[in-house]
Amino acid sequence: MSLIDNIALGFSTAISVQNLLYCFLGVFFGTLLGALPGIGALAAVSILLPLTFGLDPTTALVMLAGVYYGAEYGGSTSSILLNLPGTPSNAVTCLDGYPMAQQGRAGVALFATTVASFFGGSLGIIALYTISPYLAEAAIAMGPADYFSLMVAGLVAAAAVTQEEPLKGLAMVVFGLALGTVGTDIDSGVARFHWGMLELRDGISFIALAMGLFGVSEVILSLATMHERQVKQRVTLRGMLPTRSEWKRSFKPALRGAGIGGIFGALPGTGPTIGTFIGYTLEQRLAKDPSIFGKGAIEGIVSPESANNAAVQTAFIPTLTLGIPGSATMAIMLGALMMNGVAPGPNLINSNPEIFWGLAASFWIGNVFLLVLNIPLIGIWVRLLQVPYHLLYPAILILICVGCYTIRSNVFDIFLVLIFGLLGFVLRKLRFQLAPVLIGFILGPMIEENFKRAMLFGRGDFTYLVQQPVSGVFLGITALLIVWAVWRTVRKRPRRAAE
Amino acid sequence: MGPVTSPRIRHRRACEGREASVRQVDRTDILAGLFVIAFGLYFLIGGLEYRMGTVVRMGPGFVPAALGGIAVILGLAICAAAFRRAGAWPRIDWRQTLMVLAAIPVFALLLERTGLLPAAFLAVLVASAALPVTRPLTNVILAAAVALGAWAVFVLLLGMPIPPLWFDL
Repeated sequence: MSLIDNIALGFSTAISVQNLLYCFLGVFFGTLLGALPGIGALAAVSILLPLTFGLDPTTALVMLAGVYYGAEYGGSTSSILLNLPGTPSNAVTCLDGYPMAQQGRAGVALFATTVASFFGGSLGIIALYTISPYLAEAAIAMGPADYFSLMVAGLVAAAAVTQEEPLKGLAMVVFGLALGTVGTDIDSGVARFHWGMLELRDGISFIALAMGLFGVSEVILSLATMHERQVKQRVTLRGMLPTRSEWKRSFKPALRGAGIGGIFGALPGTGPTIGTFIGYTLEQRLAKDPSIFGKGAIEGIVSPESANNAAVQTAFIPTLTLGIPGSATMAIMLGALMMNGVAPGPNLINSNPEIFWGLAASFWIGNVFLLVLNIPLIGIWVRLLQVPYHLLYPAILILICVGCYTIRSNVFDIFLVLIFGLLGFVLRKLRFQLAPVLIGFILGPMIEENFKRAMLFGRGDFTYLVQQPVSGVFLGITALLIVWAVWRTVRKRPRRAAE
Repeated sequence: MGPVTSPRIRHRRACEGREASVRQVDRTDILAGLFVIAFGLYFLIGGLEYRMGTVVRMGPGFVPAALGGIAVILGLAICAAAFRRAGAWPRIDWRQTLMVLAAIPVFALLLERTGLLPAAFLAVLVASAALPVTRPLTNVILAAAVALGAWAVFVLLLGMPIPPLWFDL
């Protein structure tokens, strides 16, 4: 099928009444939860995950993806109005967005970030359209050894690249992998680590894990920071239009932001946040007068917002073509696919074209919805930010509890959420990153399967993994990443202590 | 969320620096390393109790035991690195933590005994106690609103088979 046929197939899937409805619900709730400081995109996706249970896989993914990019749109609202980032990747937007609001130009800032988000998101979707089919084709030729090494490289990258403390990131990946071994072993039928509980023989519920680690622990931790906040700005539609010179100044930063964000979004382990930081720094370097940054420069909000939305779209490239999630949010997307009986991997585009192309088409539709939600209807979100957090968090908690109960109608899952909520809280207090846990948990079974098949091909010879050229290259990259992680740990400590 | 809170972090780092002259240990990282060693040992010892198999035909214990071993090594490395810089114990707000967590088992234990409405009502009351209760009436109204909202969304709208009240069965 040609590209045009595929795009047509995608749109015919995406404009079904059901998909349109869930796409709208997704971006709506995404914007809502994203706008609330303390609830990031990841927590938003985990909390709303149970609502997609029982939908067909395309619709489920359309909604979850909508939540994700909707949260990135909504997150900039609280950055600008409250100086509190709605999601981590909106943190940079505070630097110039809040000063703009203090100067009485909150409307312009909100308008500019929405348009920049749309621009970055659109470029990200174009990249998804053009790159994915080729990548999937190349990936089909890979054997189990290549696949195993690629996944290991992806995992190590996710753990070690962006984390401040790479060793702890690696430990969390191993923790996630180990949690994945709980339950019945497929080959031998032996139930492992089930503590005598029937429910654990099926393995740990992935939804309870995600909701506990990200939902509950986030509610606890954001309580400490949410006490006092007030929106002083009045935002009117008329006050939203930027001046002509601001339009002109914004175009190139938005383009560069989308490029940087798009690249970092597609790489495993980097994700949208790092793209926003690099985009902002780049604009500062390129500016004729760097001193305007931090005082309400429009370049300083356009670039990171364009970057994070491009990154959100390109993150789907490795997820859908290789079956390798680059971030915890993408791991949840893969989990949702697997719960619906769809095997992720390079065959997905060919075997389920309606999922891939339908999802890609829904991105366009969702981005248009977001444009409407965030410009004419911005007043809703501004008013929402005035609702005190002490009225919101109990509702979020109940949403988590009921949501995870409905999946299997089993109270056991609520207790699992409690255990993982406590665990997530403890781990965060110990300064661990939680995203690698979920990525390891999702990839674990796939790594194990490919490893076993590779060992069968190689007759139990470990060097087989290195002898395969593609696999060897990936293992080489992995080794370099580990060496770099250890070196960073060893080098950094004495300097920090000497401060 | 680095740049926004940086003055506070800088202040905290400065405090940690002062403690550094007393003892060069990052206490948080020691705990973190011990945690990693503990779960590593659990999976290592647990894995060894199952059949290990050979590399070509791996038994159910092979992968967990191997992961446990790797975790123990990583945990030791984290502990070792902690001795080269200073750091305080993690700070925990017990009231907030316990009340938010306690709301979950309250809900879970009541759900199939009393039904959704009372379970959600009481769970919200417990969760609201995480912050100092200054407006008891607000909390009661909130609890009732959330309980009714949960019932409306999950039972009426989504048609989930959850009994709203136990005698409704």
